[in-house]
Amino acid sequence: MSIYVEFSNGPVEHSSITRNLTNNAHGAQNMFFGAVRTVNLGRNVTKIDYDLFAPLAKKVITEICEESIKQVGENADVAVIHAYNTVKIGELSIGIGVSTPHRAESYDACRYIIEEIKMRAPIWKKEYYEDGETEWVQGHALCQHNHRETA
Amino acid sequence: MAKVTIRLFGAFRNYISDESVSLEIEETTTAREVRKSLENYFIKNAQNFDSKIIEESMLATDNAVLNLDDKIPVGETLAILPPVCGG
Repeated sequence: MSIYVEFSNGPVEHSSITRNLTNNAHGAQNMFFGAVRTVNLGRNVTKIDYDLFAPLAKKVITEICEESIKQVGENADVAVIHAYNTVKIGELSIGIGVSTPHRAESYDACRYIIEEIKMRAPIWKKEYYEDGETEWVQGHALCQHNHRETA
Repeated sequence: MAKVTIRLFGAFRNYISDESVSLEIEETTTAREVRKSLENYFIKNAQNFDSKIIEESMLATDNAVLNLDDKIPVGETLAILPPVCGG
């Protein structure tokens, strides 16, 4: 098993995920990419600034990856890259890649990782709108032990 | 008394331009008490401060989110983390 977690100053590149999945014993590679879209809650978005608390974010995302690998039977490789600072419309804010011997496990692990990152990773986004206004997006309140039990 | 530095993230950046805030605290202070001191700091120093954000936020070190009843680790820089929305 291998876990690669990194942060990108600006948008994530597709290739930065795929080049970190190199296990030839794995016949499945499942990817998730999150992109900045034009409209959120009825407002026209022009870009998003991402803010993150890097040391804790890296630790939390690594823990999430470890949980996902444990859930699918240990034989998985994971790469996660999250953007910080400015990401424009159509650009990627996050990339997640999971490789496993067969496809079902890679789907499951990839879904788990993105859902948990949204709930637990200390990352915030500030949306910029066409009308010139800005707003920090509402999120999920943290607590000390807010991860799902994986045993 | 000891000085604790608290880094600011997310919506806390709306209220002051500094990257962090320094507070004088008792060395046996809990995270709950520091959070209250931080709320008082913002009420005094920031315009239109909404205390709801403090109630929804947690203090953390570089390695862990602190429980509200945890003693503050002396000498460590802390962070105040509002509700998160990565991805």
